[in-house]
Amino acid sequence: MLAGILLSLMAALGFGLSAVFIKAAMSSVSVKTATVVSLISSTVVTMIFALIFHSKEILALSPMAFLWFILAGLITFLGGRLLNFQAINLVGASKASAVVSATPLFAAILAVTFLNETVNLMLGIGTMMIVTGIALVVMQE
Amino acid sequence: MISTTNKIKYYGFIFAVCAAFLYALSALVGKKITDDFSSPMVASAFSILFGLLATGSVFFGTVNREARSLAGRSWILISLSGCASALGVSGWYLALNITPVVVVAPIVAVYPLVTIAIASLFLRGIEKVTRQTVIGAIIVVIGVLFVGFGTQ
Repeated sequence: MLAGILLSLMAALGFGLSAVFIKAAMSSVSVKTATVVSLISSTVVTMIFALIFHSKEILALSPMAFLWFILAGLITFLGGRLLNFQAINLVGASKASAVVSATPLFAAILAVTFLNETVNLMLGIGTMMIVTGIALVVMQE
Repeated sequence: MISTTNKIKYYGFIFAVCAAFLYALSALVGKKITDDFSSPMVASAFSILFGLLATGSVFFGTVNREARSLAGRSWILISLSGCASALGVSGWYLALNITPVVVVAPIVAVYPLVTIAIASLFLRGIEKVTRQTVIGAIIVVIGVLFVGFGTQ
């Protein structure tokens, strides 16, 4: 359990640090270049982990899997990361992170819309809190 | 009348909301991939690789021109950002392998507060972290926890 908690903390620290590093670099580089250069280092790190823990699985991947990887890559990185970095550049790391962290809310909306999942009280309360929190972050001087 | 500065800020928030939507869409695609084709770690590694190839191809001209004159400090900071993000994704998947999601999700969900804490320490001259941003982020994090537990 302790290892899992430490890895979770590593994840939170990693996501948290990423926005701060990119904001610190933004004064001298465009969002496009920052996105591409950050993706180079991300690719190296995740490929190392994937090869260490899943090398046999990688050799057995089907061609269809690669089509889905391409789709995921386009949505997450050509779309998501580029817009995330643009947001960090315009409003700052702390405000952009607070808004982007609402991702689970959008995932829930998509799941309710397309996967016929049901809305319950927890989801309703969470949605209201996220909207209120984002409103607080956005509506200031 | 909205000033130009405020317009830029609103565009920033719109981009952030669009990014959150695309990350959510990517989670649905990721669910399909991990249900039918591969483990999350492999899916993540190859998605990033193809994301790099696509983004690099689309912006090749700009990146090629800017990369030549990019200062060493910028290279290091941007590379560290990519490494930190990759460590985040890898840590998330490795944690889920050995620990229940009810433990992992709440810990990872606090990352905006980590960003705020680090930004207030190291980005003092670049951005101001207000009390309202901190309170808003805390409310968002609690809301995300509710949504997370409400959709399990």
